[in-house]
Amino acid sequence: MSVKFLFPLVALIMLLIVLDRKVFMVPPLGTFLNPFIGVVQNEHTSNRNKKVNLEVSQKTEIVFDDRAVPHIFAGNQKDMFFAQGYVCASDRLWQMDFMSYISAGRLSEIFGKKFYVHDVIKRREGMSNAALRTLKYIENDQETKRALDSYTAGVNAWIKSLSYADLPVEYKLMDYTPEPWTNLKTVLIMKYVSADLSGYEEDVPASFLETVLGSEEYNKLFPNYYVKKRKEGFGIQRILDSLPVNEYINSSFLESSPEIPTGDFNPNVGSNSWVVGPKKSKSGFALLCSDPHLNLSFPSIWYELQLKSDEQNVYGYSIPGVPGVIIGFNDNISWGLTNGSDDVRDYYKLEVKDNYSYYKYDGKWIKTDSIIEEIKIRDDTSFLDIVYYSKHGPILSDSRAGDPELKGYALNWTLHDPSNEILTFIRLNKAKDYTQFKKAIEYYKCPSQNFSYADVTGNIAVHHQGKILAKKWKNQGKFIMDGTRSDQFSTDALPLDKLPYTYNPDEGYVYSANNNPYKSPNSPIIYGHYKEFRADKIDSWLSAKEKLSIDDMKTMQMDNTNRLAEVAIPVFLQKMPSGESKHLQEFAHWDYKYNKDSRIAQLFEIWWTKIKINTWDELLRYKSHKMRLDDLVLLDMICNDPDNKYFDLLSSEKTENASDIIDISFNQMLKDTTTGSNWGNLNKINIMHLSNLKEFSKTGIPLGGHPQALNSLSKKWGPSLRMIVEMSDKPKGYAVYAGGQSGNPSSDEYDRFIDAWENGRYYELKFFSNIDEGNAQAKYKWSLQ
Amino acid sequence: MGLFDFLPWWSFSVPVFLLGMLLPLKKWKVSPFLWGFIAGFMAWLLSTIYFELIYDGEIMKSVANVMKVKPYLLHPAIGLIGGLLTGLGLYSGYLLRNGREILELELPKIK
Repeated sequence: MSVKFLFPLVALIMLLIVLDRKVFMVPPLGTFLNPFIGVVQNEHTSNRNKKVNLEVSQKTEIVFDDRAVPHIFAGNQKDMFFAQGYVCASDRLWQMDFMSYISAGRLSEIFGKKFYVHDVIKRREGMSNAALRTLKYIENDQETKRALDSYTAGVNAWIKSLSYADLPVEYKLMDYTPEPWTNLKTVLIMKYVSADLSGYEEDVPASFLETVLGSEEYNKLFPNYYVKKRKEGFGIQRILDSLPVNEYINSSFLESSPEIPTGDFNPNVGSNSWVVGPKKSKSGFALLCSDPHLNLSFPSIWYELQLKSDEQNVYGYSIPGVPGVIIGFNDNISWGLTNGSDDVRDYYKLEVKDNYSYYKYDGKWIKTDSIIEEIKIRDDTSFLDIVYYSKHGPILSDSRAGDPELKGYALNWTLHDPSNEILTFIRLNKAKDYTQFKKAIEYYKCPSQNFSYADVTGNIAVHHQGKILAKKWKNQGKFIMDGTRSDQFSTDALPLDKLPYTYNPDEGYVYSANNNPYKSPNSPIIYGHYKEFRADKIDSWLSAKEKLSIDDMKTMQMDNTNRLAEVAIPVFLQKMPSGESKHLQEFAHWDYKYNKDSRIAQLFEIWWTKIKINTWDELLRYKSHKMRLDDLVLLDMICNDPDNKYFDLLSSEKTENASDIIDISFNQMLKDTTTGSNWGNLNKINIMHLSNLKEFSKTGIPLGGHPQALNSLSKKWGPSLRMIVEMSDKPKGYAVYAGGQSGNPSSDEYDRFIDAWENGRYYELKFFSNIDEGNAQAKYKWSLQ
Repeated sequence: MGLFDFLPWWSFSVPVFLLGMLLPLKKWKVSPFLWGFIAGFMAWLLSTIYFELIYDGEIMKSVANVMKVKPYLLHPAIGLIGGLLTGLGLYSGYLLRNGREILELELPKIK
């Protein structure tokens, strides 16, 4: 025997070692390209009839319809939630798992060091800690715990059935495997969604601008306001803050510039929802519509399904990783959601000493709490981060050794407080009437939401619900607060009976679209990131017609009318010197629709943008302090305060007024290079895969619509779902969402609904009364027993 | 896929190695590396194509793009990996038994 065989053997072993490893973006090729277990196995997408032996107490059937929507028929709640976990994992395992990693600040475990900063920010925002405390709190409720336990068991039953060959392609590409599902991961997903909807705030730039501009000017630009009733002419009613209690905010207060991470939270995420009562409905049945505008992604945030047990029969849209249906309808009621848009995220400036060991509160030094967060990093040693907590919340700034002025900011966010939103949905899913609906939404705390409601008996309602801190003064929460004083710290939520709602109003309809729900000057003072144009448009639609049909609802959800343009153009035309150009004629005859083939929409977009730039040129010097300048405030200034100093251009000798700015901007518009383009050429929507992999995304979709239109969309967000339900004796649903049921990029079901979604088509939903109806229309079927 | 639920993906190299030892490759006057390479190349490539044909998905192209590889290079790469692993495995097994004569007997034939 010779040792020569060692040469090829060593070469073989070395090759095996190389092929077993991830190298940069390339996954381990030995497994990944292996024809028997590798990526080619992910081409396998067809689901067939099957029988599985699982730990369900009674036979549970899952019927898939022609759109791959699962209809679960179970003997009890436990089996039903188990089946939901199982079937949702079968379609969306990677997505739900990945969302929990994002939420917990664990991306470094998958991608290594480059996501370390992301993870640190998440930990310091207190996400993972909040999820842990929330889990402990909600598991005290037996109904919630049972649902979570069953759902988790279902997900794990699916994970257990997987070999490497069956893993979703993302795991193979990123070279990791699914960990067992836990109830904590479900809570993390709830926090993930909650953060997206309530994470936006402007405390830091607002405090800065208030200081440099002075209270009076600041209030002119960023007022609290109510929208006037449309009969009185569109405009705003400013609420002047009588007491300037912000005297603590001055340049010395802001001296050490805060190291607050600017989040990527999108202020535009919102939604429309409205309900037409029987009086105004053509069919005589209430109509409920809901289209949540969220960040669009592949796989979609929505997973469609029906859940039937001995206690309930509900159809609708769930969030992968969370038991129950979030938006939908059952035999008796239907409900929709829009973001409450209240400001529930505030910063407190602290005085700290001994490297964050103590903070000053009413003159006394109080010890901070600290939590050690272990951030695991792939192929590297873990990083231990200490997050300090004051009574306000986690302290964000870095502690810099040797700095004599260790000053931190504490983040107070209702997301940190334990609350049981899951129970709201469990109860809503089986609610039979308005009383049960109201009881169910009482558990709902964060993010604040508007729940719209309709039932088969014709009652309609909308409720603004959530934990909203009672304000001690009008502007509390608008600016950074002084964390050293107890009189600045709010802990009490507005009592439930102070939350605004409307029930069976005389008009015969209700709506919400991220507008300020506090309508009268006597309402509690709340501050938020409200938007009014869409709500106003909905109101004008619903009031205009005597009777409304399902087709009207579809037209409304797809309405591309820019409400801002509709209100502004008549004003502009009045103010423009006459005979200026043929374009003016075009504007005069325009229907204000931002359709994708509209050239005039593109023109108006430029015109309005130029008006904004020319008006707010004084603020350009503060551009590092980004704040949303409200279009409605500008329009109100043009109409009611046209000689305001902001209309005067810095760059010219002359003193301009609003009319001059409109005219100057119009001429600038005519010279703009994109004037010949259609709106769709510029309004391109990207639906990105959650990991941002271009190959699994759909980019550059030219679409009509506008943030100020009911078909509200831009860049990478929009109506993630459009749902219409007619509350006849047997409710009928029509809907479409931006995505498809399967999370497998290889499957036809991955983006199956996109075409319908783009073009405003709806699917008629199959809401089966019993298993026999389901069987009759089943494409395939799974039996769990 | 059955077996690989329990065994590591590279375990197929062991029987290949044994085959290299046991098959009378010397008597057949074949180059163990070349034949192993061809067999492995074909096995990996044809299996991949087979699965692509019977399944209804379309993912190989996106995956090539993710890895920043030209899509038409993916299949040769799959074949190459299968070929190298099998060729080297068979050759090592062969050499363990017939190592002494390797230089004079086999090398010229590899050309």
